[in-house]
Amino acid sequence: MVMLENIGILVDILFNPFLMGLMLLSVVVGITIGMIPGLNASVGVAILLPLAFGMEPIPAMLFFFGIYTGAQFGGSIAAILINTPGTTAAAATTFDGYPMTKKGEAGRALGVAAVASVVGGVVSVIGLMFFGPAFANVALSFGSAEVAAIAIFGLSLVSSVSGDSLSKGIVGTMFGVFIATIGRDPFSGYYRFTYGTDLLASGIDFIAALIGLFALSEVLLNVETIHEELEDFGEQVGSSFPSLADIRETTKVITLGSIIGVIIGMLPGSGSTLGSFVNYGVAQRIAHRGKEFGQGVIEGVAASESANNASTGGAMIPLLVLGIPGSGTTAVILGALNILDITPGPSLFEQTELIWSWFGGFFIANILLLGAAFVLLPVLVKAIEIPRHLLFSGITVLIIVGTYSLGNTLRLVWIMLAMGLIGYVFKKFDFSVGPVVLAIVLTPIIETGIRQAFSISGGAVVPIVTRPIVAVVLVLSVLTFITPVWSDIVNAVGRLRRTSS
Amino acid sequence: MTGRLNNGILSRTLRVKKATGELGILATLGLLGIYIVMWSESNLPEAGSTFGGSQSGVSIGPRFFPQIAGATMAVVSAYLIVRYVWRRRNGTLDDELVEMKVQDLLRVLAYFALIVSYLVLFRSAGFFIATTGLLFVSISMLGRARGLADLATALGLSVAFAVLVYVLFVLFLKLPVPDPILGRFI
Repeated sequence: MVMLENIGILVDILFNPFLMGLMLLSVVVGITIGMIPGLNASVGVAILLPLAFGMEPIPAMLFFFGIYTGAQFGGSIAAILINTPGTTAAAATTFDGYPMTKKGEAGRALGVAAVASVVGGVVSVIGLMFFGPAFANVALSFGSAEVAAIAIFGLSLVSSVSGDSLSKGIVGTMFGVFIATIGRDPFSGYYRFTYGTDLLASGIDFIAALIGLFALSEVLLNVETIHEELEDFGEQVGSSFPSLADIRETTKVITLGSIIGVIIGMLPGSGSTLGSFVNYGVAQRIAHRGKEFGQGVIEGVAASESANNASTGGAMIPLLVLGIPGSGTTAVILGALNILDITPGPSLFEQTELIWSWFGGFFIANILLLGAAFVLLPVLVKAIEIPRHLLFSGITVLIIVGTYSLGNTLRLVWIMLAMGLIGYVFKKFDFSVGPVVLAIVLTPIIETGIRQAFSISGGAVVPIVTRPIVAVVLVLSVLTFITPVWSDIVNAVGRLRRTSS
Repeated sequence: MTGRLNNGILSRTLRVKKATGELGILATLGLLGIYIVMWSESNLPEAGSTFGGSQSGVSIGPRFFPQIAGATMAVVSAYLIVRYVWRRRNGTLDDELVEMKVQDLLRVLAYFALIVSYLVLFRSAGFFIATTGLLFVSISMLGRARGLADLATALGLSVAFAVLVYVLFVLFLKLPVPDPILGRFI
């Protein structure tokens, strides 16, 4: 009902040439960023973050939603054409996308990837429109303890699904917690780990930190491999319009992927990569040609791409309702909200025009993606061939000047530089930077929430942990941590028994 | 001379076992964790002075979060290090190699030094000179510019991109950047 009441806002955007032009531009830029190996939605939004300074909240967020939507699809283009996923979420797309290119069916794979991405994206925005306000109503009754508990749950999920090792995820998360505590403690006024320097006195600005960890580290990795040749891109992409038979063949996996993607996207920390892999696995069992997955089956491409884009809207729910980003990209989008001086939370949903303009714009961005994918794709794919030395030289300047503009000070740039170096070393040895970034963002929420809750309860633990939502969420957090460790312990005990016998 | 360098030291490949690199990171983070705990213990009060502390119940002050973070980093890093050593001894560790040519490593270090120089020059020389310089060196170095024509192209692109960034940030986004030269003309 609320959705229907606000349909007028969607129409207003449709007839606003500035917003439509801006969104089309952002979708095209997003596709271009997503298809370039080494760049992805988080890096793209991080590079362009300072642009939010000069914009009003509605166009600014529509711009970033367009980038997000476009980059999610763009990742599939390099995955299909050169077997190099532009984004990690598109890794599952390489399994069938690249074999299709080798069979001379690149256009067909790209066409179906575009349709699957758009359907997934549209379903995700509908999910956002439906569940977002409903969750916001529930969240109105949340106190600081509930918000802190949900942030802890997000952190536990992030640690447990980051990379190949839970323990490495935990170390990374705790490193992020430490970084977040640097600076003046807002409660007691004590300075923590600042050593009397002005550089650290105001703490580590999380926007500068995430630009460093996501964008600069990627620049350094690309500088290292700048002279390596990418796989030869000789494939000419002609028409990418999918046939009716392809649509019919992929309908089932696209529908399923859209639902799975929205649900997984809503879970903090899980993100689009998990969504695309889960749906790829499920589709393998239910698809007509499931047994041929990996050899260039169109349903495989559709399965990965639909879930990948369907997670975008879901991931916005915890961000907008509670201010808790569930993924790297939403953490960067939180940075944009911060620059725009907008505090996410249930009360944000009382600003009907603003929030429904964002939803409407997000919806339209997905439709524009379809047009851009079919009409501009043959031209856009040339971006893969942009000389990398020009690209990364330009990006270096953009991220330095952009970070400087955050506070008109070089202090933030030095912090960004340090974080970039840490991110480079982490990535070099397969430590995921995602948990570090999210811990930097979530720790102040958790620390403030817990200390406020204890302040109210007079230091008593029981009244806090027995609040129903806090109790349930904390139990879920503990289970999330324990489950992988438990299986490790069971395996270790089994090995010991076998050895001793 | 350069050719000999290219064929010699520069083209050598450094090989580090991935597990060794991971161990290095974990040892660093573990030691950092111990340091965090000790520093917090001696420099921060247990309870907050106004909020967050309680004499009767659980006390949460500025020390609590750093200590949780530090202690967890130390304990989990130690656990992982022991596990690596155990696995290596049993021969069950997947000792994948991380390879890197000396010239690639030097390029990254040189690029990092270039960025640091840029930041040092940013305020004193101003945006235009510093940015054009950074772009010129970056494009020439990463693009392996050879001869005058390549260098001229790199310079042209650098000037054009510096002006474009200035226009974007200063004129379009109204975000000031220190520049005595372009500010006079644009």
